[in-house]
Amino acid sequence: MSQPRRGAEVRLEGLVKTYGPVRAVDSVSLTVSSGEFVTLLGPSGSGKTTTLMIVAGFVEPDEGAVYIGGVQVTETPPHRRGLGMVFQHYALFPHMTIFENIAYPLRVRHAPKDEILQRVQAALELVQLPAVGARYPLQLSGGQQQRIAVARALVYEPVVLLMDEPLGALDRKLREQMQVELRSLQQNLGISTLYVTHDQEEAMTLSDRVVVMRAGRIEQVGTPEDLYERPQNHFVADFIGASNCLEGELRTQGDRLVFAAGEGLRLPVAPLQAKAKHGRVRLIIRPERIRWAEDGSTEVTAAGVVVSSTYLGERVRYVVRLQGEQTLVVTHPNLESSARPREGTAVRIGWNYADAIIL
Amino acid sequence: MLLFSEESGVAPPARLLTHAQRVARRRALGYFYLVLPLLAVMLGLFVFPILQILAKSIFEPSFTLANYARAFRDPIYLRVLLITVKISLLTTLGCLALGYPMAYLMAEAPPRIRGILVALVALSLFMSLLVKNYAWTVLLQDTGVINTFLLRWGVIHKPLHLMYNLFGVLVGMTQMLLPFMILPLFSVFSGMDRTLRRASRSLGAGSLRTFLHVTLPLTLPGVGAGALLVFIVSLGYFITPALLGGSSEMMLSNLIENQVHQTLNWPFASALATLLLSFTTGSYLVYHRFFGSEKLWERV
Amino acid sequence: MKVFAAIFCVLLLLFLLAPVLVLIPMSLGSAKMAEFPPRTLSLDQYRAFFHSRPWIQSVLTSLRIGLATMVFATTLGTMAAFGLVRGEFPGKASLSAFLMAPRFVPVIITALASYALFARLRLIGTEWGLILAHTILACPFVIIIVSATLRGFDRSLEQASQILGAAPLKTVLRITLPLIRPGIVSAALFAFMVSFDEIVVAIFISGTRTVTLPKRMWDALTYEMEPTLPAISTLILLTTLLVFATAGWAQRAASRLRAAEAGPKGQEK
Repeated sequence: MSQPRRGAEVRLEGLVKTYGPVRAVDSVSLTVSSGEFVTLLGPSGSGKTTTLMIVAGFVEPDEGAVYIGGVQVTETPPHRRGLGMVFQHYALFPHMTIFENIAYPLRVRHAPKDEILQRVQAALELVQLPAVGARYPLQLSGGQQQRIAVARALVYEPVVLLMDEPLGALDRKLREQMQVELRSLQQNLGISTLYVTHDQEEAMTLSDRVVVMRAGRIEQVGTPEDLYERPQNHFVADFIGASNCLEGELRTQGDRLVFAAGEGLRLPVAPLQAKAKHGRVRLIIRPERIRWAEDGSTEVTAAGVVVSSTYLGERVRYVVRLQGEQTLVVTHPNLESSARPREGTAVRIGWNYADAIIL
Repeated sequence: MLLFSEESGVAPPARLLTHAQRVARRRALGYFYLVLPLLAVMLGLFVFPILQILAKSIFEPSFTLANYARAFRDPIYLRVLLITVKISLLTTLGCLALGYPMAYLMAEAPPRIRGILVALVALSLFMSLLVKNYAWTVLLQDTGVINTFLLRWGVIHKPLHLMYNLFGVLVGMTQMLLPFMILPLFSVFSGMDRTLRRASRSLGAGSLRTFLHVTLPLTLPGVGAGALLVFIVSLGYFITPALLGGSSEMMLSNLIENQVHQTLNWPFASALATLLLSFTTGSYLVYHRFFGSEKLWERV
Repeated sequence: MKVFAAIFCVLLLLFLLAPVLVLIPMSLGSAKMAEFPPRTLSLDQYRAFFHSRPWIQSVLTSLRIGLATMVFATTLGTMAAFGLVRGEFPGKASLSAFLMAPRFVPVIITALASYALFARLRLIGTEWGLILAHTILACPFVIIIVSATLRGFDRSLEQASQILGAAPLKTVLRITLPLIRPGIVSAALFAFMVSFDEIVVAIFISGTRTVTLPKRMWDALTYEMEPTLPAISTLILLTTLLVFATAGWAQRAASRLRAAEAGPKGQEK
């Protein structure tokens, strides 16, 4: 692990994979720039793992091509693609010592003995486990095994790293810890990384960009902020973070746009938001963007009644019922200064035009 | 008009196979090649000679069914066929009578004891067939262990004839085939939902009623499977009737051996072998139809 | 009630195991006349057995044939197991069922068929004839055991090996085979025992020069009484016990390895 190497570019063009009647991967195209950390995010069955397996070479696509560093590798077998990979259950070889596990790819490449020694040691230090070389995988804890798996994947300095839900088997605290370590490791090495997970928080923490997938197709690609602030459809809005979703109609009232829902709920909408859509739409607003608007300080206000209030430690969650039986979830951080209306209280809530998304 | 165009209505040939399909095909072929050597050996050393036997039974010297007719018309041979079925049925009943309660008790036993019981039953299965038969001769002979002790203790005054008769054969065959009944039944009992029985009791049914209406029906498939298996294996038994039976306990396999080694009547022996094979195969097809073949694969 | 159950179990177990247990004390009696219980305790029977040229020859013959059968059956069976468990080709299920046939066809028929074929090939009375016939009989067992091991094998280990740069063949040699070795060892031992204990085919295709241990026992049982039979039986029993204990231990080592492969939950660092 000398200087950081530049990662290679990974380009996927029009990948299709069908199993019988099911399109597991349906026309997926994506580019991972050199050194970028991209996460494939989606529920199970979304095709994210299959896509990763196509990049790795374990699944042959029915259509489309894979390029690594500009070279087409679609028909190249996995052992010749020069990729690094970390598996969900670590896949450490149980009959070899940790040292032998990490040395394996180097031995396969016929590296000289002293080079092997040096590089394995460096790899162990990289994942902060310098003393476990003589032990066997089964003697280590899950977190330690995962680090060794990472060390093994990186010891031969591949230009691309693939990760298939590597933290899935770990408990929460350890997982969060590992996330931080993985991210800093990846940035230091500058290695292009393609990561698969179903955990949206994990995706947001680790990635430069996130690819949201559903039923084999890409729903949206963007930075975590892009996806959170500007989801392009309801699925993305719902999958990334919590959101309120009101269904209604967009109407023109005089010279203004109004969102009308249920019986009599009318919410003003800035023309910019609507993008000139009319008819049935959804209004999406994040719970933390809704404020108490007693003093009328927001651009949009609505009257409602607090239906429930739940204390969650770091936050308090309220359910507010608006005119026309629509309810919104509102969350506020647990600060001394914030108002804590009790159940049954009438309140005024509000937000700014920019906080709402019309889809 | 161009050959491949919208006018002609003929589409240009797509690349015959995608890369994915070619890889899949190559892989399937590779795995098939792994099975090929054994397949070849089986065809040459197993299937072919058995077909030869079949041929010998009807084609020597020209097409004839006389050999089969003989098996059924000649009372001596017909008797052998019947005694084979009779012994097999009795063995099956014996195994059922002893094996069912044993399997039940084994499944009810506490875990550690259960493990030991299963190991012991399996052990008896793996022991050499010849040694087991020899042991019975030692025990059942007129001058054998059992008679010696019974005489010594004055329970009897002359030796009981426990061998060279139906009793000896049944004792031996039951002992040897019991594990075939116990082990499948044991897995049925272990897999049975115990709460059903408890539910039955809590609803007020007594032990006998619970047994008849809950336990028995649920285990019947296992019973059928075990019984059919024991029956089929008994049909082909050779060593036990030879060593423990008298001349009237000659089973089909013994007759076949006799015809080959003593009478040198190959066509007849072949016909008898074909009959045995047909009967056995037929029974297995019945087994497969009713119970599926998974049970056969699992057990070693 | 529980007492009855316990008594029944014990009696049944005695029924299953006692006949052979009777032989063990008998084997410690005199070498001239087998009796139970033995009047004097000695190792005469064993001594007589080990000094008997014909019996030792038979043991060696059975060992040779058993080991050869073990090698052939394990090789053919393991390859077939790989093909059947991992392959996807038409007719796989039927092929699978077909390869199990020697287990279900009565041995007498296999014996008869082999006899007819080998007579023409002049393999009667030769060790090779027996090796071939025993291999056919043992293969189904090898397939069953190795298939079970393969099905429990974690394929991500092979994927890891490949992505790390090892070609498929190297992966099989350095990762797959070492990890399924306990299963293969188990299957090999089973194949050996199938051959070592086999009697019916031996009755048909043995000759004067090739007499396996079971065949010689059979001759002794059907033609003349042999007072050292209890000792011989005990030795066979001990061999069986030893072989199956080893196989059982190998299987347990395999399942321990497989259980741990799934990966423990992470706790501390």
